[in-house]
Amino acid sequence: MTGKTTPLYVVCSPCRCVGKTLVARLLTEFYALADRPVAAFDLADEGPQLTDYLPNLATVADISDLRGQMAFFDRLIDDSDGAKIVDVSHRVFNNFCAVVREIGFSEEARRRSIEPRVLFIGGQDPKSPKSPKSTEAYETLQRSFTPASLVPVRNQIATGELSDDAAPTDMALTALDIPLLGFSLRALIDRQAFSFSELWRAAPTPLPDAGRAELLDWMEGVFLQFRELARSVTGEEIPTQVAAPRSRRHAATDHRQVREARSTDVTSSDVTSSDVNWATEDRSMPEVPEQVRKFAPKKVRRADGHAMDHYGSAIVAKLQEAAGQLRAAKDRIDQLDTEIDHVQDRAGRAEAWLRTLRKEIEEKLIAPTAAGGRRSMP
Amino acid sequence: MAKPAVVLIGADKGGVGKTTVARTLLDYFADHQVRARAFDTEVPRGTLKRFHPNVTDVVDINHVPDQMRIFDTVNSTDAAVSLIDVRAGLLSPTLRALRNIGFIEAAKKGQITFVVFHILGPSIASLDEISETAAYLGDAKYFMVKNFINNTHFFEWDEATHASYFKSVPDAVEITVPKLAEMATEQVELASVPFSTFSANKKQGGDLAAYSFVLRGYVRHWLSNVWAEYDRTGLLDIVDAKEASPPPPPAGKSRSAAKVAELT
Repeated sequence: MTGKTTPLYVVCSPCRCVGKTLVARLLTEFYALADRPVAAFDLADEGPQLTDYLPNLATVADISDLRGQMAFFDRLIDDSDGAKIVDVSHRVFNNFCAVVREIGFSEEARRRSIEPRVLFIGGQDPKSPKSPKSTEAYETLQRSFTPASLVPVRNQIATGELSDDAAPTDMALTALDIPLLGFSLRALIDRQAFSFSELWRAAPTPLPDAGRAELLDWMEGVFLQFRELARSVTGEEIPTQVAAPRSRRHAATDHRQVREARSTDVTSSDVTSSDVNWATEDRSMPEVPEQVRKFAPKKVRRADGHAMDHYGSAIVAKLQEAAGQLRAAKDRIDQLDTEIDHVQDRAGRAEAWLRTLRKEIEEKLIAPTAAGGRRSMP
Repeated sequence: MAKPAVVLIGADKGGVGKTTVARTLLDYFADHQVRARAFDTEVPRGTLKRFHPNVTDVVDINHVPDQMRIFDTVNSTDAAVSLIDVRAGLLSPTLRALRNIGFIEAAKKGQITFVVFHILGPSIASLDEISETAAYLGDAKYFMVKNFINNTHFFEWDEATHASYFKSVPDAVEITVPKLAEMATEQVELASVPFSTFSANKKQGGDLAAYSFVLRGYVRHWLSNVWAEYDRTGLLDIVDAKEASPPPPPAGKSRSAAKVAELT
């Protein structure tokens, strides 16, 4: 044991499609960018999974049986340095919490100076605005971990802008907020080949400058929150360049200035973050004096771009709904397959028993009787 | 000195988990600072001795010198509790022998505390054992243990049958030993240490071991449930070990839950 506090982040939710894997990815890449040792564990059971995005940093874990639990939890509490990040699927959420409680994980973690932080993403339950599913899940977490380790997360990318009514009634203030991102950028970061680290390190991407700036700005906002979170866990300061890369510090500053200007000049209903072509504003007139530049017309995308995003989001929502139904059907098929295996296994064992019994009856009852009969024959 | 107690653990059937229950009891007494000695009647090998070698002797309960070793020393030994793990099939004969040597009469007179843990199997035959065993008990404290550790299903017991047998022994107390994951059971077997030692990640000699944290967690959780059952029945008070027991646990926690949590 090193005596140093090791952070352990558990990203979880009782709901599907709320962006657990995205948060786990961002957090893993945040540590990787800072050249800090990090290991991610993927308890997801449907694609795309954390291991699809980060094959070199994440490993698949399965806690459905004791062997898998040993492989996973024993590694989770080993004494190696480095942050550990767990992406918990909504389907294994209850089992995960039950095992954590039963094996006394929190107590053992405390003994080993492992500080868990449970990043809980509440979901919007369509049946009730008060989201009883999230509230129940939050209570489950409170029984499994110390209340101080729970960090509610609002992931606006997946759940949209949740109203306060949708949050669990006793949930503390949201501690992490993953802001909205334009539709096209969302599609980009969902690609398995996409890497936040590479983008951050200024690797070439097919993105136009505007999109790149917007995405970097979004990442910066998230990483700043992660930096605070990491500091609250270990007291350690993650290097500042992780929160603001040198290559874009200038652009980000300009970006903020434009955003501030926008907030005063343009109402939010007129323009969204993806509507403004930031890079064009920043770079098309580098040599023009500020006195002249401020009179230049704002380059705002036409409203149909905004409508396109809107329709695109609606189509994605429909597709996600259909995908959800397909997954539910697949789950049922898997469940039936498991039941068939179980029944076949039992039948096999019963047959083996019958064979054993038959053999024993033949050996111990029939054979001696037959031998006795032969002996008694004249 | 407190009144000596003799705890008999037995069943007429094999494989129902007598030794497992004996092991949990030895752990329970040890963790509550109740000095206990044990006799393993599984001659010549002795399973209980493998797990608790320092407090266990292997004896032949049918052998008069061994009977003397156990019962003639009950009053003179330092141990407050003498625990006897009776081999399968020997519960009724042992009780008969105890009656014949006047031991049960001594218990009736209050000179000795006599406790019987009858480990029940899933079959109806076990219920028949209850009335047979009860005939010898006198004033003994009688615990009927349903042991689920071997994944037993008490499928043959319908409610009415069960109730009719249990009512025949009005002072009997039912104890349930929950199931422990097979792999955890196997690993403790392989380690050949008491459950509490396994939970504390120690070897028999006290050196640090490298048992799986998950398995240790499951064992700790299971043991705390078993001990909670012993707490519920007031076992420590029955064996008259009150003066040896530690101060009461914090409110809302059973004494044993608090103790097991301290094991690590």
